[in-house]
Amino acid sequence: MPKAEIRNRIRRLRFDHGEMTQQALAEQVGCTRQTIVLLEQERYVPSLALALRIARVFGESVEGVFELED
Amino acid sequence: MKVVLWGIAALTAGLAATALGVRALRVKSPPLDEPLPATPMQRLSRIGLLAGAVLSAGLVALVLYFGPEGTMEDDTVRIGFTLLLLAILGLFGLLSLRLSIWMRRGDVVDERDRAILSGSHALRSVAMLVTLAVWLIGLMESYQAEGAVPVYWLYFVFWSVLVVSMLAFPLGILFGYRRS
Repeated sequence: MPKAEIRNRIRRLRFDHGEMTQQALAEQVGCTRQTIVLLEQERYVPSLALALRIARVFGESVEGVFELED
Repeated sequence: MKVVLWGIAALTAGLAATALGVRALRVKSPPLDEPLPATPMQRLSRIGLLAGAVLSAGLVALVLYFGPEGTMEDDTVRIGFTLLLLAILGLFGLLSLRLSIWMRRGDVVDERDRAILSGSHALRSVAMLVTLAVWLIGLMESYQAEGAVPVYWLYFVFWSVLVVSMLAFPLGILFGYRRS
């Protein structure tokens, strides 16, 4: 599991949204909690569809959640 | 080498090919900050692998105890052997059914699970090919002088490839989760 070159703010955003649990986020975006854990640790790069769904849950743009590391 | 040993070598080689295939693709990375919760597909694979391994061990034990000819000639043993084989088929049929229901529902199996599942199918094909190759080499080496192979070996070749296929499937999934 190499570190992805894409950073994200999912953990921060979860806490800013009423301390949403990983399970709750997983259910809202249609993935497993394991995937959310790996996303937060930047060990997994999501598909565009999953990235869009995550961004929608937090009311952000994809760039507001994910960032390409230079 | 006795043909039955070639058979065991074939089974072992098939499963070893699965493990080696994943190991070769594995990337070393630092440990995770928190333990990963098991996914439903992971839990299902563990059950499938455990039950499949027990039933397969039963099959191998039966053949080793009665010998290949004894297994085929004695009706009771042959029926027992066939029932064990059907149990393995039934078990993996149920697991596959469960997986396909999850895939259709779309809220249990996610994109990462699907990628792991695809990798497992690819590994399973390699494992089956390796098993078949070792079996055929063994039969060729053992019966080349006679110029003919006893027909019951074909049945053993079939079930061993089937068993490897059934075991390599959950094994590939579990290795896939460790790797990805």
